[in-house]
Amino acid sequence: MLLTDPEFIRRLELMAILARKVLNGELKADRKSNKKGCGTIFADYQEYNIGDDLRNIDWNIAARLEQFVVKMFELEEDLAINIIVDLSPSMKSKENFVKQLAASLAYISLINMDRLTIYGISECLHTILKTSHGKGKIFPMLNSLQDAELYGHKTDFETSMKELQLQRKRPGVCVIISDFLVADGYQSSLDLLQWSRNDVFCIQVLDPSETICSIRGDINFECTETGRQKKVTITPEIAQKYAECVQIWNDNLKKECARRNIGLIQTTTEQAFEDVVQNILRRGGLVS
Amino acid sequence: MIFANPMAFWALLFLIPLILLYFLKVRPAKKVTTTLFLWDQIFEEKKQNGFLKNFRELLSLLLLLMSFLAAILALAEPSFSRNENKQNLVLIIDSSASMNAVDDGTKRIELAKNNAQKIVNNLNSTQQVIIASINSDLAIVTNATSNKRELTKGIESVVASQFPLNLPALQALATNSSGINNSRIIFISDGSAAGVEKLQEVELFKVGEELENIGLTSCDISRSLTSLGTCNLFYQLTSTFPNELEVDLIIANGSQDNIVKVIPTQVKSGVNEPVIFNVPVMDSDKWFISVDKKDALEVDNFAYLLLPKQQPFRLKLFGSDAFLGFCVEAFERSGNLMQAVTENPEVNFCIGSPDKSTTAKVIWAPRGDFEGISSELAANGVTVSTVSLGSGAAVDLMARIAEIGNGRAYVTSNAEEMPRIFTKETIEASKSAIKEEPFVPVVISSASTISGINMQDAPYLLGYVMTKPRLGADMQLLTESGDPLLAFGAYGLGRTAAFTSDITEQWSSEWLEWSEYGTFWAHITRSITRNSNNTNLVVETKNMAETKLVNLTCYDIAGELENDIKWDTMLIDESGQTKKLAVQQNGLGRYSLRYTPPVNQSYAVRINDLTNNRIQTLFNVRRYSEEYVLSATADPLVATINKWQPELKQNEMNRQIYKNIWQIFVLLALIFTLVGIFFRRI
Repeated sequence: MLLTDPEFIRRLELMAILARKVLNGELKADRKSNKKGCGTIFADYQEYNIGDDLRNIDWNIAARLEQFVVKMFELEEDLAINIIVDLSPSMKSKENFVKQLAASLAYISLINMDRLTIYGISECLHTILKTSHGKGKIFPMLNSLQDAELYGHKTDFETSMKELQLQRKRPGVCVIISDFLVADGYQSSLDLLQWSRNDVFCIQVLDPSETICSIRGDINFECTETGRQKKVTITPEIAQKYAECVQIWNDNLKKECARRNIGLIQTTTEQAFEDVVQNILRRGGLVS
Repeated sequence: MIFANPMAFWALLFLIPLILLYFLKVRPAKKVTTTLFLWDQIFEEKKQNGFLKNFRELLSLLLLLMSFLAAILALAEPSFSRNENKQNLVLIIDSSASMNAVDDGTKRIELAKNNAQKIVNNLNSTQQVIIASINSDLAIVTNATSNKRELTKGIESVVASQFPLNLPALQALATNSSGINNSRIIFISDGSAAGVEKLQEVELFKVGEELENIGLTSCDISRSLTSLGTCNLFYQLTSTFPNELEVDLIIANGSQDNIVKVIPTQVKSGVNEPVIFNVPVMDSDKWFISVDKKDALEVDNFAYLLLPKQQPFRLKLFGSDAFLGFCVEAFERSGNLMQAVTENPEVNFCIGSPDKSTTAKVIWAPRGDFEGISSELAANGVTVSTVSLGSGAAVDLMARIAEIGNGRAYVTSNAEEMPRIFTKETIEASKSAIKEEPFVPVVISSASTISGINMQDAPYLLGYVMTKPRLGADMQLLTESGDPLLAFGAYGLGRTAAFTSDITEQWSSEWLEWSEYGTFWAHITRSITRNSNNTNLVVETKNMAETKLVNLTCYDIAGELENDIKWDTMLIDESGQTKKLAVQQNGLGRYSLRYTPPVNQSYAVRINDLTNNRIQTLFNVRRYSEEYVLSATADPLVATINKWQPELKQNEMNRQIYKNIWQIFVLLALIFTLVGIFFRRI
């Protein structure tokens, strides 16, 4: 089971996913929207046009200025939250951690009446949970995540994002949970998501063995996704170079996200995912 | 460079599989990774150093091969040679007795010195030489020096000794030559000592040629126990001459010029049978025996012998007759043959009946055992009559003798009546009477007991008792009429001497003045005296490190272990010097004494049991040096007296020095291995 600790779940109920920009929703909810409507918070006046609701005419203004103006109110809508989980074979050692992290975020979304959609990405986009909202979808969400399996033979971010773009016409908050160890790069994918005016947030989850190479000698490396093999001789110097290379890769990810104003949280499976959710994500500005 | 074990090079064949194994790819462990593209990046950069990588692999293989090759070379035990002519030398010249041998008119010691001089002359200025000589001792003649004048002087000072070669000392010098750093030790010798060719760290340089030799291989002298006045001389000759030779064996006493005897001897090739012959005891105890033959080694043609001194015979005189004074004087005139003592006598000399309380071994009845004689004569049908002449005559004794002898006893105070008495008795018995007339004893030619005594100078005896010899009696002296005067025979378990004349002034008054009187009686007494019975004194000798241990076990007559014995022990060396030795009792009847034997000397240890009057003497005759022992033509000594090189080869000094260097290759193998590992690690 992904979420089992009641205390942790209670704490999750107090959280909400933050959007960095105001996004339009579909249903009325608690989220601020760009649209004006029949909310409770006054927003502006607008000259009356035929068809406007007569109940919104400010009669005091009309009496004083003999001009009909209509009071406009801020419209509160729901927020579309897309949790994109990397389900490529490279996530095998991190699968449980990633699913728990996704489940936590999904739980927060559902509690806050947001429209939640969970996707899996690998060679292609795979919908794990169709757009759902409301607490009633919590268990289907958990079951979907639980049942989701790794698939594909290659992580193709770009293809997956293009498919997502086709499916999601309306912008929303996109939380990408991945190791971002993609040989073909991830920059174009992030660009695509941003081009669709999504509020993108990246969570990089790594296995500790991916950051440091502790083995020495002659090794036949096999890629978990492609199955390609490479025989190398690992010396302390090579291991050190590998650690530096991983660090550079992570630093580049950090730079790319910063350059695009994309939130990024980098964590490893060594850390308790509860701590990641409560502290790291909060400090990273994804949840409040 | 040479290889002591070239078979090790077959191990080079292992290089082939080694190279094949090196190029065989080892299947590495499989590891699944998510960051293969990163590894690609890393090794893409490393590809820039591909040449270095290839070079490293090649170098690693090269180092492995060199390590293996070095190990094989080490197994092949390589050594390289070099001309070693700067080495210091230790020249040891053999100055033992065998170096006195003459080769073509030149002594071997001179040949050795000439060759040593040649070696010294061929030295360069940087070489230092120590010159030493060795016989029974090793002596350093010159300390290490390169001064040729000093070395020449040292060589000239070496002379051949009469001592054998102390081979262990030479070996000890060679073994412990740490004080002579890396010096060659050259031993110039005739190689006659056994084992000289097996010396370690010593180069033997032989001089001399194979020569023929005759030598006295063993020689000894001792006093004769059966024939007083003579001594037994023992000798044995050994010859390396192929043919039988006749040589003269010269025996001298006192000095070599005082030749006593010359014995023509046939000497066969090899070891001859030992010869024993008697020579009379002479004034000097020093005897010389020599072989009159010019041969290789003159030193073994001559031997020096020392006759052990004879202890005086201890007599204790009993009685009060006036003649005892004359006897004592006569005994003292006999020199060291007889000695009148009051304690610890060997023989008690009694007049009349013996004192029963004494421990006399021999009862001497100076007037004859007339009772015994009388009864024996009576048993043989001889009538014994007696004449008691004078007032002091033993009338009763004479009467008893006459009674036993079935004869008559006459008593008279007037000597003039004797003819009448004898006439009467002659009538009665026809014969057997005392014959009183001066006569000179006649020596039977085979007489051995009194040999050495000049009986021709013996004075007249004035009378004797006419007797007849018993069957088996050993007649030594006769009267002029042919009657027995001195005869020996067995009576019961004892040996008996019968002297039918007198020792008193009655018939032997002139004999008392005779200078050989004491010697005469000493010989007679010794011949009938039972030899010191030492069967109850068991002596065992053990050789300890530098001393000798003598264990004594003493039994009394009853066969019981005897304690608290008084001892008088002494060590007598060749020069006659005596040294008292202490005897300690260390058990019931067990005693021991320890002494340090004189070096290279003959000596005797005399053990005198004062309590029981027992004497045991241990003789140790100096061993004939092995160097002189020419036991046979096939003797190792003879076999080694040949094959030498009279000329010193000039290139002898430039010998090849072989130095093992396999350790270097082992070190190289280790270094190559370590460097190979280092290259692989980087």
